Amino acid sequence: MSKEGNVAVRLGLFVLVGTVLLVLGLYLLGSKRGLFSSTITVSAEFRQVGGLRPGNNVRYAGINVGTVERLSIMNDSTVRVDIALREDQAAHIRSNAIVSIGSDGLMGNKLMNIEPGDGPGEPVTDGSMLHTSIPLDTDAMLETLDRTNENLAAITSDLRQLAERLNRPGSVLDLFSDTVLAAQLRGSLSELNASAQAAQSATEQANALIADVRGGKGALGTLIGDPVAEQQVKGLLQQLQLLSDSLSSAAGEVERFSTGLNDPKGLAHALTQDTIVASDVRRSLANLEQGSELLNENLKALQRNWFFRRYFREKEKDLKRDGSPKD
Amino acid sequence: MVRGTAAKVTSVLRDAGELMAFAGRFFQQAFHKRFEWREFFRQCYINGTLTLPLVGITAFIMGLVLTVQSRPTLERFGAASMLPAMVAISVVREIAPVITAIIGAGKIGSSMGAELGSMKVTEQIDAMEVSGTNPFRYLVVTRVWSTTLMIPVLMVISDAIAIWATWIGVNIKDDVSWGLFYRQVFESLEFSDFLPALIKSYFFGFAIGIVGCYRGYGTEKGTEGVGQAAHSAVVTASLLIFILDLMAVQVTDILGLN
Amino acid sequence: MDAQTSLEHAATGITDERVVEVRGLRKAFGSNVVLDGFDLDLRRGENLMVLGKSGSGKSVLIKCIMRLLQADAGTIRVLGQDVLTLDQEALDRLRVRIGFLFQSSALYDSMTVEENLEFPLRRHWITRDPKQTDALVDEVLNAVGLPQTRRMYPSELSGGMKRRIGLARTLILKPEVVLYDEPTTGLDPITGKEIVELILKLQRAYNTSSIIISHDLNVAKLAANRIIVLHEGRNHVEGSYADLRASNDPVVRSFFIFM
Repeated sequence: MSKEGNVAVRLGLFVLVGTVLLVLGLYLLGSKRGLFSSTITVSAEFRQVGGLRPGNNVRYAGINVGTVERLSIMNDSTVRVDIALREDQAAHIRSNAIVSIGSDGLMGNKLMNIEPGDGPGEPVTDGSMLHTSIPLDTDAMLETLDRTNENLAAITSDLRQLAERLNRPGSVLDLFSDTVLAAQLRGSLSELNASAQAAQSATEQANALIADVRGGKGALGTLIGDPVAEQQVKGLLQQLQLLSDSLSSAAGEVERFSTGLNDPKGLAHALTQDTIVASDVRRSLANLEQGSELLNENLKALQRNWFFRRYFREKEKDLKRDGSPKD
Repeated sequence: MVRGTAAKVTSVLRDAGELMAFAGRFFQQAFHKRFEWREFFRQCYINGTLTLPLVGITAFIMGLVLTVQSRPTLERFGAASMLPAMVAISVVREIAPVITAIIGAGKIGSSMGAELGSMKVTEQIDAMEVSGTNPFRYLVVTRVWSTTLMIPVLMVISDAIAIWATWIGVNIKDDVSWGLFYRQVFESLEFSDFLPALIKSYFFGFAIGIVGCYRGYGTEKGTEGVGQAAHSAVVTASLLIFILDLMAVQVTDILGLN
Repeated sequence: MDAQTSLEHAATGITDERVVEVRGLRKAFGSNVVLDGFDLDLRRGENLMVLGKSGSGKSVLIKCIMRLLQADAGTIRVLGQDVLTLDQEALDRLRVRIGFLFQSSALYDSMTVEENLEFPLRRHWITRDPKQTDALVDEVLNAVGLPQTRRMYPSELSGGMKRRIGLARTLILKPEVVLYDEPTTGLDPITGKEIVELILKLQRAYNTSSIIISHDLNVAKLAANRIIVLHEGRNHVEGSYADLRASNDPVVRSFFIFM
């Protein structure tokens, strides 16, 4: 009978272990769906959510604080995302926090990032609406390129006008007795002209590229998969870089000229009574500076973008090898 | 040649039909009020507790090997951190249920085929019949119920063992605490990974029991038939398990649980 | 039945009450007709032997009587009940009164000798009281002379011991009729003789009537009051051992070939 009792105990133990594991497993599976703690729901509105799905993680300062609960289309340009935030974490999140959509690594799932906003704010409560920032993805990159193009176009037309006005027969330049200065200015102007042309062609290329990407080939497909496109992008970026350099050098020269214009004791000032031309030059100059600045900014933005990073890194290496940094 | 093939096909079909009839007989008797509890518990002990060491060792090895072998591939994609999740999903969805069932078919199926086979040829089944016992209820119903209910328990335990082995496998190269590991594992697992596996393991258990009993109960031709019964019980049960697995994946697919 | 045999029977306790009556029994397996109109009467207290070659359908006969096999045609009456038409419950009740010693002893391998002996008691709901079962187990183990095997498993026993335990398991229900299926087959002659002597001893002690199926003439010589030779599914010859010994029938003679 003791043997039979032994058997019963061992069978009981076996079934008990199995059942406990089963219950534990089911509990753990269930608990990550928010059974750990109660949650509050906050919302954010986006134009588009880039493939976000219910169940995706929501992070604050890199920590999972909740999950995407529901996605609902509010109207033709608004998607509302409801987020289930763990209540114990919600205290740290202010109502002025900014929500963005990102992804968890190269192959990873989409996720939502909550970043603290500027200044103090109330902690979020159930039903709070959070601010959003536009996701930095392909679209963001294209936007950057677009803006660069617009700026280039504006600069180009300004430069054209200035150059034409200055080069007109009987313009202020003819009054210059200082032939050296006049020659210098002429040289700068022709440089500006060349830059303008270069800018135009760069703009065209960039537009073609943007059309390609927007045409559905997808950023990864166009830029990484296709060697021709990759070459195009490299060429385009090179051109933009050169353009930026030449614009800044041209701007420098024009500035020197303009210093002369503004100096009441300067020769040029004396010679140019044509105030319209002077203000024209000044305005162009301001545009030029702004343009070159914007261009540099855009280039930096592009450099930050992950898939251009490699290209820029290589370029840096080349520069170091040549020992002639361009700045 | 053609006639030989035709005869083979006919015999396979007859076999399948008889197995169906046997299963039908089981269901007729399965809920009879005179249930042989003692024998049922004894069978649960044999088919559950005594099968655990074998299934446990296999689950441990499968978890470990799968982890070690998956690492290089995942590392190539820079996704070595996904190792626990990936192995856990394979284990829970497929490895644990199928390995448990196949090992069970090998151990339980063969011993059932041989046991019932030798009982048949040495007239022990007849002896039961004359001792006021319905041998089908006493031998078959208890055995089929025990495998149907014990294989899922074995599967759950081998899930746990294989996941534990995965943790060990991950820690061969990494240093991951158990707390982090099991959180990663359960983060990646869903009910839809586990429930279909649990449900299909009941079917696997039933298949092992019914085939083992069918082969053993139908034994003829003396001692030679006993070996044949044991052997064909394993082969038929294993095949049936894979067929059921195929059906299970289709069904879960249709139900949208994949 | 003449006066002399009647006297003989009275001396051995044989009465005229028929405990088993088989008429026109027919059993076929597919196209293989094994029994084809077999008749048999067993009187209370009698040892009836059915002699036949291997595969002549002897075992089929007693399995039909026990309804382990379903007869195709004919009638079987055991202890006044029609075996072929009984429902399961009545059949189980009848089976308590009929013992069956299987050719291979049919001990349950997974149980000890004690559990083997208790099995029919428990299953037939005779008794589940531990004291009572203990007493009954002791009694039959002593009767077959193997009290030391109580805690052993069948695999630890020799063929002769298994046969004795099988006999003990048959007798524990105190049956009125015992059917012996080849009681000496597979045993050496000495052990076989011991078993037959044991059967006779126990038959007297338990006051049973028996049908013994065998092809072993030693059994016939030692145990049988009456012998029926089964040939081609029918009763071929009937008589005492001495009658058969003196017979010129070729079928009967073939059994004496080694004697």
